Amino acid sequence: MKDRLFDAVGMIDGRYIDEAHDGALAEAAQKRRLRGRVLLAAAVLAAALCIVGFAAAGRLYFAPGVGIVDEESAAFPQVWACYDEGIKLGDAIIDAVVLSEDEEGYTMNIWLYGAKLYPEPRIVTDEMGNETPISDVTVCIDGEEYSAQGSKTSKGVSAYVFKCLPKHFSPTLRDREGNETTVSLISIGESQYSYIRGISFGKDKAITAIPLSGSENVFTAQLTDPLTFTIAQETQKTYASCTWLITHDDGQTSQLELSEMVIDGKLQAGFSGSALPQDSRDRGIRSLTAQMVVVSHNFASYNPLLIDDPRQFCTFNLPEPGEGIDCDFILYGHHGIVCRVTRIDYTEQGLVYTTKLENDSTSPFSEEMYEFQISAGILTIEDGTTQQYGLTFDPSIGTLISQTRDGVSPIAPGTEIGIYLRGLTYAYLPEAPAADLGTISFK
Amino acid sequence: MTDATIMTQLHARDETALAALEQAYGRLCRSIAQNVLGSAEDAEECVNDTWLRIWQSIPPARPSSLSAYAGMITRRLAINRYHAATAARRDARAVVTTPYDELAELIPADGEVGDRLEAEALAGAINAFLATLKTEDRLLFVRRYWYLDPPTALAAQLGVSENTLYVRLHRMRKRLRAYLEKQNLL
Repeated sequence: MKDRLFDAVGMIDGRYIDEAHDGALAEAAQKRRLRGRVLLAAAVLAAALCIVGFAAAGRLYFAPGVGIVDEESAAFPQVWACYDEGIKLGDAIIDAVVLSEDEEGYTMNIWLYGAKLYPEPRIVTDEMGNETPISDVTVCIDGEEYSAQGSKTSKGVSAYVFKCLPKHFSPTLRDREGNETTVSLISIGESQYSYIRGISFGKDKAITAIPLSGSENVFTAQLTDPLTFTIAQETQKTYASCTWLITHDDGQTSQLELSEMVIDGKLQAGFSGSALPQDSRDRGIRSLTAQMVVVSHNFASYNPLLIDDPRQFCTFNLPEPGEGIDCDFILYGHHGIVCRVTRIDYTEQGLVYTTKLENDSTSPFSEEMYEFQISAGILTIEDGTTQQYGLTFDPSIGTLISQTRDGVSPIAPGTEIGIYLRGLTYAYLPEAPAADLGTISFK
Repeated sequence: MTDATIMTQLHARDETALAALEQAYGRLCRSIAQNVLGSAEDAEECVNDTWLRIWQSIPPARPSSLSAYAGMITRRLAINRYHAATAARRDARAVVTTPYDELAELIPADGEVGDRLEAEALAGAINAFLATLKTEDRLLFVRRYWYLDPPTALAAQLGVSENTLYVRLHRMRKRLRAYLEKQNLL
């Protein structure tokens, strides 16, 4: 049967095989990332960079039909933007150009991907001999060239801020090498999805969907979950993903997938922009349900032997085949979560680690709301070697099991090894019919 | 050389078709075999066996996509060779989960439903399932389970960690299982 399923996948339609040619996946991912950057840049970053001194007031979103908003009040009702894909300025790709109106006039934010960086600023000398530094990218409006008042480059994306510009919807961007590109800005304030939708569940958890583009029905989202953020501060990476089930006015359903949030130890979350499926556009939404939220904490891709203070690191001698040892190692014990290893057996399936995840009296977890998985690693420590091996969670037997072939462990019995926690993954089940879920509501 | 030309040569029993196959699909088949077997030498033998199988099967077979056909045969040969090798050596080298194992997790433990299934019916359902996926997910599925690309390569192409990749693949397999159950195929 296993072979038959494997064979069945081998017989899938040739057009899918051809579609997935070498480089196609990387190309699709690049397109998605660029798209995500465009949308996030045009919306969230615009708000963050434009509004000096306003950020403390609360979360800022771009909401089509409303503009840039602080929670529910419109802070910047007038926004024009260009985020056509693939427009270039020289070799750089124009991520987004956003013009917004504020109390000082008009501010333009420009994001370029792959812009050339120069070690020294460009200096222009006027007729009086005065020297003025000019930004690497400038904006030309009605024959006047404007220099950016600030710029920043991070991870290949360069952001430029131009303040006090005249109102103009066809600015020409110019780079230091003289390349020019004229972009057309359009109003992005009109959309039937001109609101922010939120789903709250449990006592302190919520997911807020933020529509980024009315014309393309693209969302980003923000997760509110104090526990996740607390644990994330102790991890190397934390990922989250969720799927929303959307029921439209006509009863049809579609899914909106929001994924790959990287918290990276900071209390910041940003789901990448996700578009509703094509067939769900231009239709009203009757209800919205968070189907599942998966949070994956990655504790250790480091070698516990090489750091001064490994969080929890337990050692024992590997039992002989057919034998086992009882133990009580705590791999993690924080925030009300206690993860233990209670027994290690060398079985025909390989090395089986019986694990137990408990909630102590301070735990905010409700077992009805979550599903847990633990991943751990083992490493040999004899002779100073640090060979690492992964352990995966086998849901069919509820334990960690070493990744072996035909029951043969890559580590010899009797070897002193260490075991440490690599990851803790839990899934919320907000649509499960349990009383503890709280009320699913819409803002 | 086009697929049609190679097919014509095969039907004419023209041995230059074998060189044409090697030129057109050698890299593809070698990559698939290497991903399963982890050995360039074994992969080379597997690819040579693939050309032999194609030579023996065409005619009468007339596959609509020669690349898919060659890839399918390579996968089959490679996994057979893999099973034979691991059974003989009780190989403990692999500490990674294979695409084969990942797909196997979809199968109920009792296995009794398997007997009534035909690979063709399953393939049809999987094709329909793929049509429901977003392009990137579909590409990921095909690259992992048809091309058998290793997770490290896929994670790099997607710009995500391997952990994220595994979560994503796991979710896709769950969706596939749900889809097959809905079709009464599992």
